[in-house]
Amino acid sequence: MGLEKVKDELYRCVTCSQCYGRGPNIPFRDADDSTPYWVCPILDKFGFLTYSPQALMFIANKVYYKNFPVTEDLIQLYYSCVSCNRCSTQCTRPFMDIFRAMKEEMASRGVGPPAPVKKANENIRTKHNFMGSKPEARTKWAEGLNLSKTGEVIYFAGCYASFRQPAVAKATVKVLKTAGIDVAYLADEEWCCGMLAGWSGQPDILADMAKHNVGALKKAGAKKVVVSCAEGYRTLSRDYPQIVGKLAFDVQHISQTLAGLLKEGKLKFKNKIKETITYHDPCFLGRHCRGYDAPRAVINAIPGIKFTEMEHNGLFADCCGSGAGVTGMSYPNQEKQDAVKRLKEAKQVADTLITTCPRCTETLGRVATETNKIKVEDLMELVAKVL
Amino acid sequence: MQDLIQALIKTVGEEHVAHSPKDKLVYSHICGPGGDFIRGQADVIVMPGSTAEVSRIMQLASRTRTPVVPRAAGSSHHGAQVPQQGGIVIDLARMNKILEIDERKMVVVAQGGASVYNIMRQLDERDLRFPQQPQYTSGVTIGAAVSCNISGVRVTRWGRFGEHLVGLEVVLPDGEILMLGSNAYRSKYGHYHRYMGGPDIMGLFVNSGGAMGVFTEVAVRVDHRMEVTDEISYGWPRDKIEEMVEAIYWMQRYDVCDVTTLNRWNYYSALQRGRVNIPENIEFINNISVDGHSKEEYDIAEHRFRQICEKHGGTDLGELGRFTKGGPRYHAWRGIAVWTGREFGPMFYHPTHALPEIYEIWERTCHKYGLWSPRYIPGWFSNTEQNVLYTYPLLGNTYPEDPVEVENLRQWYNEFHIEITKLGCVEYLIGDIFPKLVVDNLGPAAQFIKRLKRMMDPDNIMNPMSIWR
Repeated sequence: MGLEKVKDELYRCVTCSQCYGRGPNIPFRDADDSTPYWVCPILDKFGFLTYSPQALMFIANKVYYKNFPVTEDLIQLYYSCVSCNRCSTQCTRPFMDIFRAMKEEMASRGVGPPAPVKKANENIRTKHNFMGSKPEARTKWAEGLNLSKTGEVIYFAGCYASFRQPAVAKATVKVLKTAGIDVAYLADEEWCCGMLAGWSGQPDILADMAKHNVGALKKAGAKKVVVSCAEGYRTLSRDYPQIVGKLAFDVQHISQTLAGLLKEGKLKFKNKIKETITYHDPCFLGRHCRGYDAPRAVINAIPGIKFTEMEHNGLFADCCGSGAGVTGMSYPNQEKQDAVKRLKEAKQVADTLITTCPRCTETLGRVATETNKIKVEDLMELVAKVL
Repeated sequence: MQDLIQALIKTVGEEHVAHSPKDKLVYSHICGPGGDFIRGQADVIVMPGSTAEVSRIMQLASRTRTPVVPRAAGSSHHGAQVPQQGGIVIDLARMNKILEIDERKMVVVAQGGASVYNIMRQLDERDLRFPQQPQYTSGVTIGAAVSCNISGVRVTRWGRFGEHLVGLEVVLPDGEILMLGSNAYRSKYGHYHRYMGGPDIMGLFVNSGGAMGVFTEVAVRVDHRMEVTDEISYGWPRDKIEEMVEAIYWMQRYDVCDVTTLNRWNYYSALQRGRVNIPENIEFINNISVDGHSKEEYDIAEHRFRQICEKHGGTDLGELGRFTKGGPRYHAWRGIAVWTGREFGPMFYHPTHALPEIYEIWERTCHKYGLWSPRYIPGWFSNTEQNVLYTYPLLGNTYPEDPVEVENLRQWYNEFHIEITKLGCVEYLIGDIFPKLVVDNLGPAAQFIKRLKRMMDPDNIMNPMSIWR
């Protein structure tokens, strides 16, 4: 619990200040590992060294050794980190583990999470969704689809698709069925994955969700679980095994499932889409799980599409601003700034921005409606149009 | 202090002033001996956006006799960036503009806080480069590159960063803005030449470790990017160190681009992970950068350096020098420090032929203090810098929160320094962490620098931890 589990990592910083950098990590344009201009998102906003990964790690070190107090002043510092994981791709330090541990440490001492996140976590605990909606509303999107509650392939829709973006959930089922997959759905036995709690310092809630969901999936006979959102995918595939041990089923992000179906020839796209499209890598699918190729393979398989990359793509993609929901709920202005930056870059190269995480879709879509004319769509909505 | 903070807020804006406990803590943080041995916390951190703002900050500091420490990435080992006596830390991160890249005059001009790596990318896109290639991170700024006179690849042929300095704008401790080199006379023709027809005053500021002023604008000479650049690696056993030194000497004579000598410990983590293969008997690895304006020119040079190494008993280690991310010998120290912990070590010059003697002292003192083990990874790193060796052996995995550990390292550090100073080694950048002998050894020269410092900064507000107070 807390910093104890990462104590041996806390002092391992050479202050090379790559994470305090404002520029490319490798300055040569033709190097194999050439990188674009890069700056840590919170450092970019606040400017001071204090908002760099090395500083967050250094303060955690001081807190662990009881040389610095845990105060309210630290809440904004740690919860404004968007957990984009770019720092960990530039340095071998496990920053994400350290920052999560620090948030656990803070929460265990009664400091944080910020009020909106705390409330959302309580919703997860009591209503099994972070929005605080009635639990029975979760299955509304599936009405009339006649999905079995048991089966080998189970679609895990998650809170976002279930409550806020039913079109994404419906599109996912349609695509899977078209490919001949007899997809099942846990319905009211599907609870929130618990990601928000896990990334905001309340791992006990995440553990409760993990135990329930894994039990329900096992009971339903799952051999493969297909997840709609990037965060849910990371949580089920990475966090759950640490909590409940090795899973009895495979976990796939929907983009990986589709890329596999395309490769096997089980899925074919009939219609054309004549648009210039770019793709936003969700941090939790991309950098966290190295899932860069599958979404691109799916997009590129759609007839008529002209696909272009943004300058910051793949390993160097910018965050949509939501920051696993933690930052978006706590600091909406910060979220909006990041989203505007991302949309601006997308608009320079494309007419439509596709992503494959309902949270990213919602954040970018909302800000696009307010500020920008680029169209934002989830990958599944796009695919459903070309079947 | 509250009045000063208010005045600073009025000068640069509230969002560019920080003084919370967490900010003060973080700006005291550095790696290496400075971080472990030197403690101190700023009272306030300020991020100016222009030279005029820097000047006003210095005027405020001068009037109130408040210490000022300029700080960039904070990756220096000497503690010069630690605000030991509190006061103001100036972080130039906002002054990060590249002002001009003149391809005809081969000069780049940038604000003091501009990222060196960012400048390098801009140069690269124009087939230009710094003569010596700084080898740090994008956190390192051009102002700090002058202040610490940084090293890098091709230093063997071209020397350090400061040697290519053309012009400098510096804000002095009393707030005066001083133009030096090409900054002094630039008009229609802009920046093109370092010397002003008199003494090289700019040299006073190079390698000054933040003790003489704040560098707000820097002009540096650049060079054409070579068509072909690559790296070869040769190894020598421990008992063949004399032959290796002979090979280094001959490569220097034939104008090699860069030679770096490492010991086996540098590859410890890579060896453990099976990422490299080095024959058991090899203790020293020399990574040799070779370049050419054409493939033919490159091939001739590579052939020559291979002949020299083989004549003096070297074993070809193939691709070893290029195993790390980033290509040729990219951040060998990362192999030590990042995988194992913090880094810590002295940095000094000595003649090439002194390498066997200095290495023996390193081995002996490390053994004496229990540092010759995987826990510390006592990696040797000598850069051939023109006709001398610039050596910075590093220890990893120190425990900065453990006072017994820190004291052991401090004792080793002092003993090692005293021995090598007596032999005639000279430090790269002297900080407060060094034993007194290191400064005393410089005799009247040190006294003269102190006189100059007192003249420019009578209240000693500019980086008062500096040894030149």
